[in-house]
Amino acid sequence: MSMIEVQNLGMRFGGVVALASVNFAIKTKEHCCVIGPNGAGKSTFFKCLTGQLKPTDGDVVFKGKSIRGYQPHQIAQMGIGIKTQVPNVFDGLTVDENIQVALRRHYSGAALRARLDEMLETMHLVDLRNEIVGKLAHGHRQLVELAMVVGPSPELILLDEPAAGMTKSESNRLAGLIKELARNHSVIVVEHDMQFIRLIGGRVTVFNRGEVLVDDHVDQVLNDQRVKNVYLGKQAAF
Amino acid sequence: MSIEILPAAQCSRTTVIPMIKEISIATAATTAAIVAALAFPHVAELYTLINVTIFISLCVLALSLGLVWGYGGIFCLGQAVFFGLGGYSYAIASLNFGDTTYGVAASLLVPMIFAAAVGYFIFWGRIGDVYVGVITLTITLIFSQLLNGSAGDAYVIGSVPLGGFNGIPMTPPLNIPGKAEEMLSPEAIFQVAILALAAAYLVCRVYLASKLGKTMVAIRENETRAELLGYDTRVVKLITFVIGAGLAGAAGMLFANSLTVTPNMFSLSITAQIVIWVLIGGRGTLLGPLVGCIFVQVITTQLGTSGFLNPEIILGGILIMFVMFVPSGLVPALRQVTERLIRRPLKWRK
Repeated sequence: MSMIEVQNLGMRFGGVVALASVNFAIKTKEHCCVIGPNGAGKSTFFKCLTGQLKPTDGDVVFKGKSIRGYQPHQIAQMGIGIKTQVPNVFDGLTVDENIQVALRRHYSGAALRARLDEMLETMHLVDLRNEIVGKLAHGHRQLVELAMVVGPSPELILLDEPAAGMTKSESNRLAGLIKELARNHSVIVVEHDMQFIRLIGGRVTVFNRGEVLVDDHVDQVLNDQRVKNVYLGKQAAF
Repeated sequence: MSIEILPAAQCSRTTVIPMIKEISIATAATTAAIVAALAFPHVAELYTLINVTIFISLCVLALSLGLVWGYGGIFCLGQAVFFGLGGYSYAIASLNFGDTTYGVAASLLVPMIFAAAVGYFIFWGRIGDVYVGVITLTITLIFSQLLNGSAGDAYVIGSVPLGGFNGIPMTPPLNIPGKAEEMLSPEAIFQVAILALAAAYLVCRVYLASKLGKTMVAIRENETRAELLGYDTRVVKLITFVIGAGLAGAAGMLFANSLTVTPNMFSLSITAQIVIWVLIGGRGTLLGPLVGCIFVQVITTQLGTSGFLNPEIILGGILIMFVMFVPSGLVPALRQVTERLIRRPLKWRK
């Protein structure tokens, strides 16, 4: 059974078509990378999955139930967590407080503190736990948001450019973490960095002009002529 | 990475220290309130006592916006409406039932119910920050106009005429609950006001320390993120808004015990003053709005009494100075200075 299934999803902003009849599905404990040039519709796709945008066409089915028209908090409560493209954190709060807000709906007391410590260690944020998040570097803010998303253990994790602003060693560690997460969760990663995509491996879906261009294993996708054309801009010549 | 829950860990210093601070501040505030309530009426003249009671009621009003705007991030220009509704509800219910016990209940319930109705449309309608200010300001103006034009026999609730521009001059002082004939003296009303301020402070402190209060602060920081974590931000904002309205209503009730209930309670002047108190005292603190309110009210009262300068011009000047040079407000600025002074000797020792 699919964890999430997107059927003929369409999203228009006036005359601009951001998504045109997208069909996509991901199984339980499967991970998938979504790639595509700027404006391909990747972030819009994530916003439709999380209820931040109401699709103009099609349906989104999560664990067999349509979630179209649901509020973002209802979708989050059902078990979808998202890390957005720009770090979306509580800037005025400390690292500790940020992660606590994320965990408080699921844990309390000693269990909350244990999970908080676990997240801080996993993301290597122990030394920064009392720092105000707004004063941290971009890469650290990314890690704080990741801890907030992963901490409550949602069934489907959406990561929009999680490696942006990270050092190579941090990216490598993150790729390992994503693969680890995929053992118990369904994970969809939007990314531009091809090396990072290779590190994660597995299935890759290529978006172009609001449509799914290719959906295959990473090795096939990165050698696909259509994908190369899209990334090198040759498609304009056709 | 392991996803299962680890065994219980030790409570971190970051969690314990703010809790201790909260408890100690609350205890200190309560103790100070009790001592002041007992001692002040014995040393102060009646005029001073009534004036201070008015200040205390305005402090409760300042606290209400301090919670709603300072912590909740809801830029509400309608606190004067809840303040006025509290005063009018107290007067109308007390006069109709012949017992101020009903008046006190009405002064809390009516503003809260009204805030729940207004807040539902604002927060479920996903109205943005600035527009919340515009809507609540419009409501304030509507009430001000409505009550200023409420003179004549047509404007009567029960047996109480609204009185137009003159308001309700026969507002009774508080009586002992259930004993309408035993009215409280100005000294006792002062003590009730002090206790009400301490209670309002404790309500805010307990709310901020609760799960809901912490979520409210997170929503102020980033509403989208809070929603994506599964919090229904509309409910949290509505609860904050309603609590703020209840506090403003209580302030209106206390104010009605010291002065007459008039449409001035809904005026633009009061609306602006509440914002100025919070700005000058400091947003994001509970002490700030209280300090800001006392600071501004003492200055304007002194200037008004002397007749030397127009208090509103001075008030405007003070506001500009604060916005330019102390944007965080008095209390946060003083806190920063104190922290630096405490840290400096430690650095020197190193």
